[in-house]
Amino acid sequence: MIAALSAEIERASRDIEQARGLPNACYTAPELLAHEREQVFGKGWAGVGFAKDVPNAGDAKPLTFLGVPMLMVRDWDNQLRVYQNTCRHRGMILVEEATQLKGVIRCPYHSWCYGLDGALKGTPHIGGPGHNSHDAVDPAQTGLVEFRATVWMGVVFVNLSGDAPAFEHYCGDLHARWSDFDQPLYHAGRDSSFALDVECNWKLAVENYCESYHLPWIHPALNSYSRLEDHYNILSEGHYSGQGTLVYRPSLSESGQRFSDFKDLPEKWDAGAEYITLYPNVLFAVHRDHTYAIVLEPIDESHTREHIEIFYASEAAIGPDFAELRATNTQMWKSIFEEDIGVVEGMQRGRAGPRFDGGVFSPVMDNATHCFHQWVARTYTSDAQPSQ
Amino acid sequence: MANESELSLMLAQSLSDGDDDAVASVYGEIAALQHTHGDLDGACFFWTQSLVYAMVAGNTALEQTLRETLGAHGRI
Repeated sequence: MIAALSAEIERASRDIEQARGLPNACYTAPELLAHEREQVFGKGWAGVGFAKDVPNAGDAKPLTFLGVPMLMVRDWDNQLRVYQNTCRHRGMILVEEATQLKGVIRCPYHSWCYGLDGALKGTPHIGGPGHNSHDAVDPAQTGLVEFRATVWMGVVFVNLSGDAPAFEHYCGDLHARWSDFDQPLYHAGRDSSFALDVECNWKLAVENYCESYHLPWIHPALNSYSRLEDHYNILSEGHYSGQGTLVYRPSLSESGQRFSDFKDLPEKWDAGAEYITLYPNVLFAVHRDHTYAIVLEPIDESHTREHIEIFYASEAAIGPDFAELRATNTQMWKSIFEEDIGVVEGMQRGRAGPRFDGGVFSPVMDNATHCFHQWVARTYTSDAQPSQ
Repeated sequence: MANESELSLMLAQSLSDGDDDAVASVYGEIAALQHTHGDLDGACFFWTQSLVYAMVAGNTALEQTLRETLGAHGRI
């Protein structure tokens, strides 16, 4: 299918003045999503979950990403690991719901047991009743399948193919750009967590997040204190794109209560904030007093679940004294993201129009979206690792 | 030592409670009973059952003992 679309995909790679957006099929064809699982998500680092969901040694949480069953585990050395949630014996799902393990991971089918380091620790009755080993099965070769995983800004990233560039390289200069926020993040639990189901391809959620062009019409309240002209484009070819604002000053409390800031922030963050998509599927934001991350989970070619988690700069901010302010902040962001639903779903429906050609770009306002399209187009067709 | 029917009830209760340590302990008792009756295969079967639940419970001391017991009979 990619071959049949090669001319249209190539068009998305051109300079912005000559480019068209990705063709309709990239948003509507199930085969394209299957291709993206291997090529776009599999070969790079995809966001799949949040480290705060397994805070303590022994915590385990199953999740499914693009159909792949995964098990996120905090091992006894406090290292976060991600395994394929599949027993090496008969392929049974190992863990069905979040749990606190005391010892091993036991398959519920025949009780093969795995350590939290993935090692096969027990094969009961494998050689017949009461015989617990067999020459045909080497435990050293039969541990859990482990995915490369890393945690950044609270998000768990996984490299399914196992051979992507190191995460630090994959991000480009984003670590350096946001080094001011390389500090502990605090999560308050359910009041700082929500999810939205949207009827659109995951890429449309990325594209809408990247650009500020739509703010005056879709987010008029936000635009009242953070105007379009206060925003700037952020582009890092092959890695990330997004937007920044010079004026982030929401008023969350009539009493003047506010969250404490991250420590030792430079002056530019007093009123500055940035909103960046780290390709392919994690939308980040940084502000002086909190960050958030949105992991986009593609459900199918036209449905996406947005998992949103808000993190604060201090332990005090997640305490009871700030519960009301946190609720206000969460509701503010939820309202803003809900305002976007109509347009991302409208763009999805618009792609049923057979004569839509991907669309033309504003060379001034759509750079971040175009940057993303160029990356997707290259990644679709390249044998090389994305972002190398 | 409890008899077989008492152990059977205790096992059912422990499994129902999700008390892995207790399950491991009851299986260990059943194994000991089998061993006393001279049924080594039966004992090894239940020591294996006990081992699984000891590992799940994180009872490393019992796990080690059971590994040594099963190992002494060439069963692990």
